[in-house]
Amino acid sequence: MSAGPPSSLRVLIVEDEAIIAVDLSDMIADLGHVVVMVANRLDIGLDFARSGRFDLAILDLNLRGILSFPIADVLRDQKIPFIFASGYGERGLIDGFRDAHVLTKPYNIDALGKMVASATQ
Amino acid sequence: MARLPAPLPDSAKTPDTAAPNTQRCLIVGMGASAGGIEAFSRFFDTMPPDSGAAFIVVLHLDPNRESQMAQVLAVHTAMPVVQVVDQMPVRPNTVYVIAPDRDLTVRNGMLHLVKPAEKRGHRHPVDVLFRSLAADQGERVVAVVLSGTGSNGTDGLKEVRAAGGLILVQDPATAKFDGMPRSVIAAGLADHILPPEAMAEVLGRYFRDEYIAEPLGGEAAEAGAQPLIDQILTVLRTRTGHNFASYRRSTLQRRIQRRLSLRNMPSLDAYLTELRNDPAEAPQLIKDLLINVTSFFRDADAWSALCEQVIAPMVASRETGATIRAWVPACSTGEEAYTLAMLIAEQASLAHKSFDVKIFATDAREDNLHFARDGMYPVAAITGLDATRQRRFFEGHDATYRVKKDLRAMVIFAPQNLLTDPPFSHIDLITCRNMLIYLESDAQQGIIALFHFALDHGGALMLGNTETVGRHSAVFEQVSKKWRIYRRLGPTRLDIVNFPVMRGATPVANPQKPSTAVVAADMSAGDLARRALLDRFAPAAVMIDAQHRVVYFHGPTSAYLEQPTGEPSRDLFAMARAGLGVKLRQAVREAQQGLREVSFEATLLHQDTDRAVTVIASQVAGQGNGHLLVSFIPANSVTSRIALDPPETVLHEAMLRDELAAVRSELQYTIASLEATNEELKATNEEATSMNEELQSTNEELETSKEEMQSFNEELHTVNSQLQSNIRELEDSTNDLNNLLAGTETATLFVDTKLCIKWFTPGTKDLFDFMASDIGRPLQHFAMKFDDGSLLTDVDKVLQKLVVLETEVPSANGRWYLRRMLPYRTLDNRIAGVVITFFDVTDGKVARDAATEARIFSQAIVETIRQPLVVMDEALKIVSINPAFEKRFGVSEDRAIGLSVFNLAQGEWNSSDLRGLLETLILDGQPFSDANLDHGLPGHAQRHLVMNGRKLTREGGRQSLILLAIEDVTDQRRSDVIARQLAAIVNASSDAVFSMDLNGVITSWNPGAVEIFGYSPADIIGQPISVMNDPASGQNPPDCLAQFAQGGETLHYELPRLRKDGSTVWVSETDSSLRDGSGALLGASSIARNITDRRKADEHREILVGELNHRVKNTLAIVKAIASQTLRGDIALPEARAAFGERLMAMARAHDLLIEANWAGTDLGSLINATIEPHEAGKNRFHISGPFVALNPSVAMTFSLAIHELCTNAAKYGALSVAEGIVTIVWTLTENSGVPHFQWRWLESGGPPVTPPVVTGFGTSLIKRALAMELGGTVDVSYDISGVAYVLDAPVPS
Repeated sequence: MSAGPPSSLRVLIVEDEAIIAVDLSDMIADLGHVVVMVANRLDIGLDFARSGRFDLAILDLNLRGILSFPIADVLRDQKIPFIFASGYGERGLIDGFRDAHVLTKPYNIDALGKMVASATQ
Repeated sequence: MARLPAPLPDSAKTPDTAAPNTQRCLIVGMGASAGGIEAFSRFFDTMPPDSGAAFIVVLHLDPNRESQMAQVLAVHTAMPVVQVVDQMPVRPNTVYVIAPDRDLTVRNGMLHLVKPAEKRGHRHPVDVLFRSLAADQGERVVAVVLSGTGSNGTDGLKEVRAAGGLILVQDPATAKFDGMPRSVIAAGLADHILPPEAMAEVLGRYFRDEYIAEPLGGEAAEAGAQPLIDQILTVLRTRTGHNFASYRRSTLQRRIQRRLSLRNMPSLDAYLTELRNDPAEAPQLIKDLLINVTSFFRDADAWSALCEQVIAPMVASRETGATIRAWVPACSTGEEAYTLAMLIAEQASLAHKSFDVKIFATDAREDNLHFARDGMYPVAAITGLDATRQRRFFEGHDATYRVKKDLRAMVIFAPQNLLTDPPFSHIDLITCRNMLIYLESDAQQGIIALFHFALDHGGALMLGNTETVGRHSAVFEQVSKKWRIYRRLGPTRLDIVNFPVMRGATPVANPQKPSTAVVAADMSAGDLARRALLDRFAPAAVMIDAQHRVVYFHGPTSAYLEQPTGEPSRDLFAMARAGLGVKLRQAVREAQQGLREVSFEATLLHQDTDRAVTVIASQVAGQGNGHLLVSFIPANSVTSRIALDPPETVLHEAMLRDELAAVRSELQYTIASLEATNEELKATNEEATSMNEELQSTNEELETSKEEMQSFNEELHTVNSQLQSNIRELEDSTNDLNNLLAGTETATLFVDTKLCIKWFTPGTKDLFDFMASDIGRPLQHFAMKFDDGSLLTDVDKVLQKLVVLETEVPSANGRWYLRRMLPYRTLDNRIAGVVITFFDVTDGKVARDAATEARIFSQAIVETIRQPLVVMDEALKIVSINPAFEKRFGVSEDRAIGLSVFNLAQGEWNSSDLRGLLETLILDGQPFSDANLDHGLPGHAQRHLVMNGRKLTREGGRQSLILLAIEDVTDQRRSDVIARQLAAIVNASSDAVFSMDLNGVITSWNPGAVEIFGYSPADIIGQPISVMNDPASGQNPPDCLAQFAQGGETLHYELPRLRKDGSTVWVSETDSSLRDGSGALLGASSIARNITDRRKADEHREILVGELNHRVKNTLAIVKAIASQTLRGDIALPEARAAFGERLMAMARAHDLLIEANWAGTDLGSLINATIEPHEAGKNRFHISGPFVALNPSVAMTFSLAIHELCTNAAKYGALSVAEGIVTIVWTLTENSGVPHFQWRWLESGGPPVTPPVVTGFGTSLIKRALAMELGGTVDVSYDISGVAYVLDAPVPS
């Protein structure tokens, strides 16, 4: 928690659509949190996830046809909360992640704020 | 080993032994086995509890179980009942019960338990108890034998009997199992034979009796009794020939007292009277007096000592064929004799020798001898023998064993009383055990002397353990001190023998001779003197008999006589020396002819010397048998006698002569008496031998008569078997007859002329309640189960008139009988009664009823059947039609009868086909079936009929009838056509059509099904539908049959099914129920369509929809991002609206480009051209150059949006806002130290002067953040005054 107010979170964004990633970053900033990394590929996201230097991750489920569950696995091992973002909503989840937090695309800042609050409770 | 009664009566007279007897209670030993509990119960029910006696109960108990006997018996007596423990003292008025698996003995009034020595099944606990009681209690024992099998107890009772105890035996008739009682009775041991409940009274009396109460009698009583005892013995002697004079008085008295007690006699006087009056009593008393206790190898050690020290040496010293003679006096029932025989036989065979063995076994009791000769012994008697002896010497006969014949042949049993009868002689071995003890001392010694006489030189004598040779020890050498074996010493001493005279043929009339010696005196001094004188002065002499044989030599006769060459001779004349012969012969003849004395002188030539001799032959005085004494007197002595003749000498000589004469006469007397004795002994010997012969011949006679008996028995057997075969024949005949009558089931009753039942068959049971025992009872005593009041009068009628009567009678159970009576004639044509038979004629009635019923039945069928039937006569005129015909053809039977079928229904049937069929049928009776006839009824369509015809041939020459059955198959044919059409449809269908039965088994299968499922009909018909289930899919079809059974009609579902080749085919299946006319379910039919292709399409569509959804959502998210980015900051709404619209348009153009390439991406050049197209205000405003760079859709989208923003900015503020402004877009692919590098530049020129913007616009943000992020590179923006420049450096886009 070296940056931002005490309540601010360090956030990892994994999103392959750059425009969406930009918009999401802005929204996270608007919510008072700090985006520490935007990854548009699974390998990049996975590398950063293993570093563990963040408080919350928002994972696009479908990274250009590659699903982001491996990152979620790492995060769960490290007990770092995460939120899936997906056009499929909860239907896109596989067994083992059925109870994960899911943000259905598209979403606005209110929905994002509630989900972040819920995931980091 | 109680070979003598204990306590011995003599010793018991002393006060110190008598004292405990009076204190000790009387002990009653009781033995039983099977059925014993009941007998004990009966015994104790009546036994008073204060009898003062103790009761010891022994029976065979299961060794492995606790005994309940004590509890059982306690119910039946007030006495305490205890199970015996070891070392328990016996107390009066108490019942002791043996413990399981133990032998019970009594010693010194204490009870002892010992583990039985014999293995289970061979134990005789009752014998053990009785033996110990006999040894411990002597005559005070009471033994009771109750119900049981086998012979347990009998052996022990022998000792009880020997000890003088009382023996009670249960009456075999009252015993559940009578083996034990019978065994005791057969052995002659029972004193009383009683039912158990009667024993108490006898015992009570016995307990109070003097014999027991005052155990051994007082001296006074004995003294007073003596004369009476003597009288009793006299009676016995006269009655039976048995002399008990030498028996111990004390013993005799006790035995007689016991007899008194048994007979319940108050005094000896009374008993004497009884003895005189009751001829049966004397033998009973004898039995009691002559004690016999013996067994095989009794005192086995004694016998082995005998075997070792006597028999073995004897066998060793004799050659094969030699004689061995042994004598067993007082042999009782023969065990001792057989024991001896066994030992000798064993030793002989050990030595491989064979002898002529004669064992004389003698006894005074004939019954004992009978028993012994038979050699039959109970099993118990030989169980003590080892198995080898049992096998070798005995053969089994059920429960008894018999001594084998060769052993029996060795033993000669003869009646002989040691005290009164002469002994045997030249005996090698005498065994006489435990007999002397019963005799007075003098008698004992007499018998020992007798044995000495009887024994051959060196012969052995064996006595009982407590017996000795007494004062005759000088003539016996002791061989074994312990076992009382002696050997005879010295010559026969007639002087010590009190030789009994022969009994001869009349033993009873010859009582024992007084015991005086015939030749008893010792040799006197006179005799000695005479003998000396004879030796000194008497001349040599010989005595000859009438045949001139020398019977006695006296003095030195060798000078006158010599043995001639050749065989030894006693002939006087043969022995006479030369010179003597003729004169001697003459003298002897003269002397024999009556001259008292004949003398002659002769000269003998002897050793060259002449010797003169005077020979005197004189008759022996007092002898009438022709004996002569021939004396030889040398002549010189005669001469000297003549020469010496002075007067005093003459006087002296005369005196000497007188004396000589006296001596001579004395000598003659002595000789005579010696001869007489010799003769007597010879005679005795002869007699003994002949008696032996006689005994043997008697034995042989017995054998012979036994054989005769056997052959007679054989005959009886033969007759018996003949009789049995006759009986069998009779039985067969009876069986035949019985079976015959039982088989006909005809009730037959034979009554005699008095109307009594003679015989009846089992068939009468429906008519009378007869039992087999009713034969002989009058018929009128029985109730009849049928209605026939005239039965008895009819019988009388038949008997009087001898006619046969028949009538039908109904029975109570609704049957009808033909009752027939006829006279009973015997073979000799005598009327012995009436035979009554009852034939059941109900069946005839039943048959008629059945026929009627069958007719009704068939008529009902004809009337009910739906097929029209018509019956015609041979002229084809209708005789009868059924209702179906009436209905079908609309004609009533009334009208139809008599018509021709061809006229029926407007003559429609008048077809030549039918006519031909019917005519053929009439002619040859050939029935026809399924004949087709098509005809059209007026106003109706053509009908199709099928006809069956039969000729009904009738019996009795009546006209045959024709039966015609008609079936209208028009509808059926129509159905057939429809069915064929349907089948064609099914066959042609590309859908699978199949059916199944109620079990789900496939019953039909069309070609469509073959196509879809791969199974041929042959593969699948008969298989269950479930073979096509696809378990891997997890989907099983619903159970259509179950649903149809609940009332469902159709069922539709889709599912994967398994093809024959194992692949899956998706089908859409419709099942329909198949039901019969009544709605009952028959099965199901299914139609299945292959929907595999449709399923694939559906799956693809679902994938597409999912993808579309993803893209749309993603696109919307991008649109949303654009919108929110557009609206960030202070921007006027109209401006924002325009910008947002343009951005969406740019996005749409990028989409178009990507869609054209099927969303596979595009190249940078095309993208830029497409993006700038709306902004190209004039030609050549853009200078675009660069190599081919492929972009993925996401990068392309971001790039496109970014370029659109740059163009918009340029048009608003930059190079494109003026006419001359130019935008240069260039990109390169270079290699930067081996890494491919991509650089893209946007350079504006010719526009208005540039001022850096205050806020970062959407476009710049898009390029700097989004594009840089998208490509993983950096973007540099420079607001050069001449124009804005954007430079992107990144790795080559993938």
